[in-house]
Amino acid sequence: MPHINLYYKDENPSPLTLVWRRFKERLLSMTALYILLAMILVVIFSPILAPYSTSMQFADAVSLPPSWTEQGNIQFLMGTDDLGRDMLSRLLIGSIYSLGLPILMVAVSSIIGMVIGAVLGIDRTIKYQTFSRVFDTLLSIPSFLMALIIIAILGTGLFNVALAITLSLIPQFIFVTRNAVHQEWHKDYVTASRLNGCSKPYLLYRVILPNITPILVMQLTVSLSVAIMDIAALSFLGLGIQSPTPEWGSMLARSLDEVYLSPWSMVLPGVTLFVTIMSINIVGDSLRRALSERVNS
Amino acid sequence: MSHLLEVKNLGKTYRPRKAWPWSQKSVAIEPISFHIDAGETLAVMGETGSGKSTLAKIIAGVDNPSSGELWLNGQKLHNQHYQQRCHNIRMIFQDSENSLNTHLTLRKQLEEPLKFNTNLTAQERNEKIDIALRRVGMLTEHGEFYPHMLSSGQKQRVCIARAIILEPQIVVADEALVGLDPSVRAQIINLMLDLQQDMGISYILVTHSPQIVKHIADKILILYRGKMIVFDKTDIVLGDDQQPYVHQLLHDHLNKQIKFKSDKAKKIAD
Repeated sequence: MPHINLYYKDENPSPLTLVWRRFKERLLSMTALYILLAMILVVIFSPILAPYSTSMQFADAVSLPPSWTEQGNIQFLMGTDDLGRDMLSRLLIGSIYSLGLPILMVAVSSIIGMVIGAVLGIDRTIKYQTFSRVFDTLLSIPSFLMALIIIAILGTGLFNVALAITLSLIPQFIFVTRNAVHQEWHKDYVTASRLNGCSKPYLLYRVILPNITPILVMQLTVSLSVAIMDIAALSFLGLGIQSPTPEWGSMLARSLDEVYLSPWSMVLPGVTLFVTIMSINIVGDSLRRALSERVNS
Repeated sequence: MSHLLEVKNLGKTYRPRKAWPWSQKSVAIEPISFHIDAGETLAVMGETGSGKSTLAKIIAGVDNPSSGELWLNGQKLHNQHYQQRCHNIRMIFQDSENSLNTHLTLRKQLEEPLKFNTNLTAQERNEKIDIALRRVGMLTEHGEFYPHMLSSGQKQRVCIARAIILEPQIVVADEALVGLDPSVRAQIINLMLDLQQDMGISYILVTHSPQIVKHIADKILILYRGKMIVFDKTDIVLGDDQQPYVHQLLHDHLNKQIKFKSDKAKKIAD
């Protein structure tokens, strides 16, 4: 029997659902979102997907071009580098360092930054004000420079780089969260909830948080693209993740020497990096657009 | 017998944001004392910046007074003690658009005061919300709505529902009727009067409109630059020989109407 909907069903979409619907309407934003999700899946399943080990060298196939060219070999889909290592495996495994690690760093720094920012946004006493100003001062230093300074103190290495970038991202989260919470705090609906006798955690999580979620998500996308750029740039300069590890930035740096002989070893990591950052930025931008459209309508 | 609400020497001073710590504070309200009894409606009037809203906010507990005390039924009200205050004094805000949380359904917003101030179970809370919604002339189905789906009159009704859901003794309305068009305003006033009859609520009404004051207020309190210059029963205030300021506040609309009519007459004559 066919299922017939006899009754008109009431549907009350929440404001966040409405933003999501606006977001879905745009082809570009959905494409970017799907690319980003696919990238994240690749990060998770890269050890299974990679055909070879990243350090395995094939002596008979050094500097082999990608398989779609005349000299290419289907065994090495994206060719090999100057040491005979499979490019595809290196790119796949490299996503763990170039995309997975930034996601982790942004997650850690956002949690720390948002908690501090929320506390500073509510509390306006002198003590917290002093804290706020200190963090504001930190903002005046570009995050990349700050990461450089921290690395200069701690030394290079995977953990130190991750720590440096995580620390350098925190001030922005504090700034954004503090301002957003502070702005909402003086609106009537928060005052009304305060008069209802709500506890402070309830005010923050149930009353204010839904209202500032879009701002926070936007900041998350910005920070994620910054983190990816920073880690790639640091590795490119040789300060970040060191060479045998297949990080996209360090692969770019390596390829500089033989760029005329094997251009694919530079183009492939560069394009991957470009697509990743591009899709993140488009997602963030579309979100902003969807949000302002909803507010204006 | 003690009064329902006694305000004793209540004063508010504040320092402008960018002033030096030692510079003189500006006075929003000079110490004033008055009282209301159960079921009365007190209208607070005054020109812009005379401290009416500050007074309303202090009574509702949004701001703390700089000096003086509030006594409710012979019991002192403590600052920042929201649980104590919101069982007895509730506030309706000027701007109903901004005083509702756009991301929560009405039911969740109405649940807040019950959740934090009573020991009711979820079922009992739902029943109470239904009763409150019906009382202000809305449907129980409206509970699942988000604020952006309502008209401004409906929003104001929800704000009133939120104010009365804990069955308070006093409701403070800070220019709650300003943004509404006349027919909705009349509906809301009638609703407020009905609720007053049913539940014996006292209103503290901050308003500009002399018509509303004459219609529903039992007592009038007039502020002038933070000073209380008149506090008495409505008919006495209206019947008295009035100071020019008071006269202007209470009778300005009449002059305006007369002036408007004479202007019209002139235009026709021309």
